[in-house]
Formats: sequence, C-alpha cells, structure tokens
Amino acid sequence: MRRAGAAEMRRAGAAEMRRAGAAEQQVPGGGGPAWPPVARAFRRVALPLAWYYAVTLALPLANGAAHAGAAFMEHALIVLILPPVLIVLASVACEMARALAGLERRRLPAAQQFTATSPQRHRDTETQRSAVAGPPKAATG
Amino acid sequence: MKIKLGVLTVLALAVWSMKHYYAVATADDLWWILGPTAWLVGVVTGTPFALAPGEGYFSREHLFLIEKSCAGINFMIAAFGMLTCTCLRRVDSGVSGARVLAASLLASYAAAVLVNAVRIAIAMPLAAHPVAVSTLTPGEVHRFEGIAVYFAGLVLLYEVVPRFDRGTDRIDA
Repeated sequence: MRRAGAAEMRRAGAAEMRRAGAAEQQVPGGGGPAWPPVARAFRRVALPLAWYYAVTLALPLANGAAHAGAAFMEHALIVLILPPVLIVLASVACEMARALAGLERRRLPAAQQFTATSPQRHRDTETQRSAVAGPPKAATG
Repeated sequence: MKIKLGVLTVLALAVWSMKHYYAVATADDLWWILGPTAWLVGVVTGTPFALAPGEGYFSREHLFLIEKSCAGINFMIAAFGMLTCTCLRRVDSGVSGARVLAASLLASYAAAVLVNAVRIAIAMPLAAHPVAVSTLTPGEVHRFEGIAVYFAGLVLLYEVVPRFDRGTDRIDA
C-alpha cells in the first residue's frame, strides 16, 4: 500500500509538471523560448519524416537516380525542404491557436472559469491534495 | 531481439521489392491500387473514371488521367515501413511478427488509396483552374500539393495508429 501511495504522489507530481509546462506554453508573446515547440514538433514527426525521405530520396539515390541530373536534383531539393517548412508552419499555427485560446480564457470572469473547470482537472486537484496529505493511515498501518 | 531483427530484415526486403516492382510495372499491372483510387476519386468528386488500357484511368469530363506515377506506391511503401517500426514493440514471436507485417501492409494499402484519392480530388480543380502563385507553374503547384498531402497523410497515420494500438491493448487486457 505504501508503494501505491508513492506511485500516486509520482503521478500527482507528473500532472503538476505537465500543467506547469502547458501554462508556460500558453503565455502569449513571452515567458517560454520560441524554439522548443518547433523542436518538439520535429521530434514528434521524426519517424514519418525519416520514412518519407528514405522512400523519396534515399532509395532513388541508391538506385542511381542522381545520374538523372538536374531534374532529379531539383525535385529532391523540393522534397527535402517542403516537409520541414510544413512542420514549422503547423507548429507556429498551433502555438498561435494555443496563445489565442489562453487569451480568451483570461478574458472570462473568474466565476465562469470556475464553472468551466473540467471534471478531469478537478480529479487531478483531488489527487494532488491527497498526495500532499500523504497516503491514508489505514494503508500504512 | 532476433525476431525483431528478422522482422526488420523482411521489411527491408519487402520495401526494396516493392520499389523495384513499381519501377518495372505498367499502369495495367497497378490495377489493384489504381482501380480503387479511381473509384474513390469518382465517388468524392462525382466524376466517372474509365479504364484506359496501358495508360490508367481516364475522366473524359475533366480530361484527367490517373496514371502510373499517380498510384501512390511511394506513400504506401513509406507508410508500410513507418507502421511496422511503430508496432515493432508488439513483436515477441514469429507469429506476432508476421501479424505486424501483414497488418501494416493492409493499413498502408488502405491509407495509400485514401490519401491518394484526397490528393487527386484536390489536384483536379487545381488542374482545371490553374492557380497563379507568383512564379510557380501549374506543374510545380501540383508537385507541392502532392508532397504536402502525402507528408500530412503520413503524419496523420502516425498519429492515428497509437490510438488503435491502445484500443487493442484494452481489448487484450
């Protein structure tokens, strides 16, 4: 049972860290550095990007497509550049949407915000409270 | 570990074979992917496509040909490799390895037909009404659209698969 209590505390800690991270991202125009969300996006789509490059660039090059000359090189350049550009654009759009949503939330009166709190968030708070209070006495006894 | 290495070896061989097959195949050989794609594009756009032997599927109404290079085989190969790598942690025996490979192949085929149909459905109006984007030619716009749709489709597939994976975890439990 002590193990269960410790696991609960770890979970509560992780939930708190996640919330802190989210809060940092939601600060519009300040606070967090600009690059981490883009870097995170690149890390997240690394596998699809690697397979896309492997099939569209690496395999044709291995089969001697480079001998095709300028036509393939031009195509390869576009294939190489466009996906990262799309990732950056999508990431920036997501960050902007998140920042706008943060601004919108801040405009809401405190009372409305309280009623808008989701049940999941409420449960997390409860978990945190019980973690701070420690495991129930019956469990340790 | 040995089984996973075996699965990766089979994957590499399959990818190489598919790429070679695509290089030597004619449009008629690719009926198994061009046919369903043409049908789906027809359903989405309301344009009938008829088989043009040796060329692919042709729409007289829009003067649009779905030919060999529009088959989406490259997308299918990329999706197959990506899905197999994503599900590799599930491999713990020869049977599970074969199951992962088969499921990845089927899913990549379905995804290729769907994503390719979307790409062609977007390309058709672009071909009918060429967009003048600064110095880009209609051919370049078509190429950009293809890369964007294929890559977005691959990323979407990558995002969707873990949800199914978690679902099967729950069923297994």
